[in-house]
Amino acid sequence: MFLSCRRPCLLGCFKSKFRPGGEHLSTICRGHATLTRSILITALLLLCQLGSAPAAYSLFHSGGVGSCSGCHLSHNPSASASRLLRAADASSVCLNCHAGPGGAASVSVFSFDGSALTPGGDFYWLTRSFNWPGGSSPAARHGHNVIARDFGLDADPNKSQGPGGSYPSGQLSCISCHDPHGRSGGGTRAGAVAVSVSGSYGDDPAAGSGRGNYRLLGGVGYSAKGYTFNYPAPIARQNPALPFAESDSSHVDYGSGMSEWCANCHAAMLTNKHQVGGGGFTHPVGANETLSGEIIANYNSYVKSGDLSGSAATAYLQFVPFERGTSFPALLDPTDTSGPGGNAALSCLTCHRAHASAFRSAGRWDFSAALLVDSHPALGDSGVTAGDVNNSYYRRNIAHDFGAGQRQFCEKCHAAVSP
Amino acid sequence: MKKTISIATAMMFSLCLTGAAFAFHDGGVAHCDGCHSMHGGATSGPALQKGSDASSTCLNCHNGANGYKVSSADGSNKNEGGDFHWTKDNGYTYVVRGNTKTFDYNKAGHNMLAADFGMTNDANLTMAPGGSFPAAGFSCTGCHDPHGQANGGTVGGALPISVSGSYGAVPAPGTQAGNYRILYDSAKIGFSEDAPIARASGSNGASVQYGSGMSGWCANCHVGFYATTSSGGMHPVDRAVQTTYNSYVATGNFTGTIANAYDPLVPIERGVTTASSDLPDPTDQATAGVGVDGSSKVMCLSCHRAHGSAFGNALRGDMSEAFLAESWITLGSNVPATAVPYYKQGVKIDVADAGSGNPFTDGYGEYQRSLCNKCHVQD
Repeated sequence: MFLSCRRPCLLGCFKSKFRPGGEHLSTICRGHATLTRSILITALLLLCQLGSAPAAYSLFHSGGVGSCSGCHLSHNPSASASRLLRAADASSVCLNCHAGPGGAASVSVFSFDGSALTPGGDFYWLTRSFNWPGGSSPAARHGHNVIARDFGLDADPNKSQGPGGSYPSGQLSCISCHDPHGRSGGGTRAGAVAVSVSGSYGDDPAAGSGRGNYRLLGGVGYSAKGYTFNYPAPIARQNPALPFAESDSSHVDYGSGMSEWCANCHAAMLTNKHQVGGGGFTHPVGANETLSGEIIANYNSYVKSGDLSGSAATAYLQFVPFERGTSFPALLDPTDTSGPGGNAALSCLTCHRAHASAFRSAGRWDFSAALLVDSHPALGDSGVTAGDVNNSYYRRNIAHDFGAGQRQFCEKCHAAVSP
Repeated sequence: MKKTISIATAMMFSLCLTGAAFAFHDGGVAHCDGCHSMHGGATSGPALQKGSDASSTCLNCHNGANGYKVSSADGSNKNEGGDFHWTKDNGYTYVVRGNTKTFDYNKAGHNMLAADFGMTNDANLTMAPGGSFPAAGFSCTGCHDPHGQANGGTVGGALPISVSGSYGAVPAPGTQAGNYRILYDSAKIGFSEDAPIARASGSNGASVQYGSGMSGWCANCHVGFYATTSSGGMHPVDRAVQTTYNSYVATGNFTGTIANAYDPLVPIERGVTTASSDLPDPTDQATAGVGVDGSSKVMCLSCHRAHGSAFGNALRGDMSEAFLAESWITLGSNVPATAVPYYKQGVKIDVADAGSGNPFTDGYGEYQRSLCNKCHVQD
C-alpha cells in the first residue's frame, strides 16, 4: 500500500505548517516516513478516515497551477472555447467548480441565492437588480462584471473600461485578476522557484520552493489579454479552518499591497490626496496612507454609532478591514480581533468587496443609506427576496448588532459625529 | 562427436545471449501452432486458437510481468506500451478528502476481451472514442496483426518478411522488415494509415524511439481525435514540439539542453519516416537522449500509453492532481506496493526524487507539476 509523505510532518519535521483544511495525507516527510511508515500507517489511515485533511478547496490549485485537466480537455470535440478549455470562456471554466451553494466550506463565489458569504463577495449580486420608490441598485453596479457565458454573466453594460484605468470591460474575467496558472514571481520560467504551498493561508514553503500568490492573484508582469500588471500581488492571510467565510473573529488578515494591486487596473483611484472641488472624491488608499493616530484611536474605540467604548483588543470589524502594514504572512493572524496598530493602512477592500456585494460599487455596506437599517436591498423592494436582505450584511442583523441609529461604517474611522 | 556437441552447445548459448530465443514472431507470422491447435485438445477458441478468444491466445505467452509480458498481476510491468493490469477489475480504491473512491479501470487503457484471463471490454463505451470501432470484442488483434503481415502480406504481392520492424534490424535484399510491433497497416480493411516507424530496445519494450506516423495510425480507430490544430477542440498532433522541451527538466529547472532533453515520460517523434533502423538505439543516451528539433512532432503517445497505465485515459502521469508525486495511488489506495506507476527505461522512478536531473532516467522533485509543462511551461 502506498502512502503519501508530503509536507506537514507529524514528527515535527515541518516543511510547512499544518493546514487543517489542507493537503490530503499531508502527514509526515519523506525522511521520517521511511523509518516510521510501519508504525504510523494505522494512525495515518485513521486520520484520513476521520477527515483530518478534508478540504475539497485546497487541493486543486495547491498554490500554483493545478492539474491541467481540471481546466483543459485535450480531446473535446464539442468545445466552443479556445485553448481547449472545458467551458466557453475562462470565467466559466473557473465557475465549473466555483459556482454553487455558498457555505463556510464551499468554494463557491457564485451562488444562486447570495449565500456565498466569502470575503470577496458573491457574484450572485451581479444578477440582482433592486428598485424602490426613488431609488435603484442595478445588478451591473454590484461588482466586477466578469464574463462567464456558460453561467449567464455578461460584460458591464455601463462601462467600457475599468474605473480609473483602461482595462477593457469586454475582456473582464476571473483571469483578469487571478492567474489561472498560479505563477508567483513570474513563474519558474522567469527564474522563480517551484510553488509548493498556497500563498493564501500563511503556509511556509519547503526549502528551495516558494509559496503562491495570495488567491493566485497576478503579480508584476502578469498579462492577460495584453494587459500587464505593474504591482505585485498583495500580502494577506485567510483562516484555513474557515477559508471561505468572514466574521469579526475569522477573516482575511490583510498585510500590505492590496490597494496598489487594485491599481494595476484602477490606477487613477490610487492617490494620496483627496480630490475635491471640480473632480470626484477619491479616498486616499495605499501603503503610503497609513492610518493616523486619530484614525486608529477612532477605529479601536468605535463600537457603533454613538458608542465609543470599545478597546483595541476587540475592535476588528469585518465590514471595515484594514491592512496591518506587513509583508510577512507569518505576522498576520486571521483570527486576530484587534484593531489597527501603528503601521496599519487603509485599502480599497476596507470599503469594497473584490467580487461583488449587494450594494452599489461593491460596497461592504450601502453607501447611500444614512442609516444602515435603511439599506437596500430591503424587504418591499422590487426584485428582492428575504434571503437577499439577510445575506446583504452577511447574515448580521444591523439593528440588533449595531442599533437602529447605526450610520455609515465610515464612522469606524471617522467617528466624530454622533447620531 | 564431442566436438560437434560442444560447437552446437556454444551456438545455442550464443543465440540465447543475443535474444534469439524470444523471437517467436520474427517480424511476421510465427509458427502456426504457437497460437492454433490442429486437433482441439484444450482449445475452445475460434479458428482453432489455443485461447477462448484472440487476446487470451496472445496472453498465453504475454501474460505476466517483465520481458515480453504485458499484463502483470500487480501493475509492475515497465514497458513503453504499459501494463494491461490496470485495465482489469482489481478492486482498487483510494481516499480523497475522507471519501473512498473506486479506480475506474475502464479508463485506464484499452480494455480487451481476454476471457481466459478475466479481462473484459470497456463497460463505459460502446465504440472507440473519436471513431466507430466497436468496444465489444475488442482484443489485441484490434491493433496487432496476429499474422504479422506487412503491406498486404505476400498474398498481396509484398516481399517476404525477414526481420522484425521493431528493433532497427535491416532486412536482407529481396525481403522486408515487418511492421513495428506487427501493427496493422493500410492494407488492413478499415485502416487507412500505415504502421508507424519506431524502434524498441528489445522485446521487453523498456524504451522506444519514435519516428513518425504514430498519431495517424491511432487515427485508424480514433480519427475524430486526430487534428493538427486545436481549433476543433483537440490537442494537435503531428505538430512541431515547443522548443521549451529542451530546456525544461523539471518544475523550476530549466537547465536542460538539446543534447540531453529527451524525457521518456514525454516522448516525441523524431520525424524519421524511412525505417526503424534509422532511429537511434533507444538505450543509447548519447543519441536517444537528444531533445527536439524542427523535425520533432508531438504524438498521441507523447501523453498516453498504448496498452494501459495506472492513470486515467492511459496517460503517462496522473493529470488529476496538481503535484505529480500526489497521484491517486498515494491517497490511501490499496494498490500493491510492488506496482510501478512511473518508470523510465524499464526502471521504476520516484517522481519526487530529482536525482541528478537527467531527463532520460531521473525523477523530478517533490513539487513537480504536470508534465504538460514540458512543452507548455506554466508552472
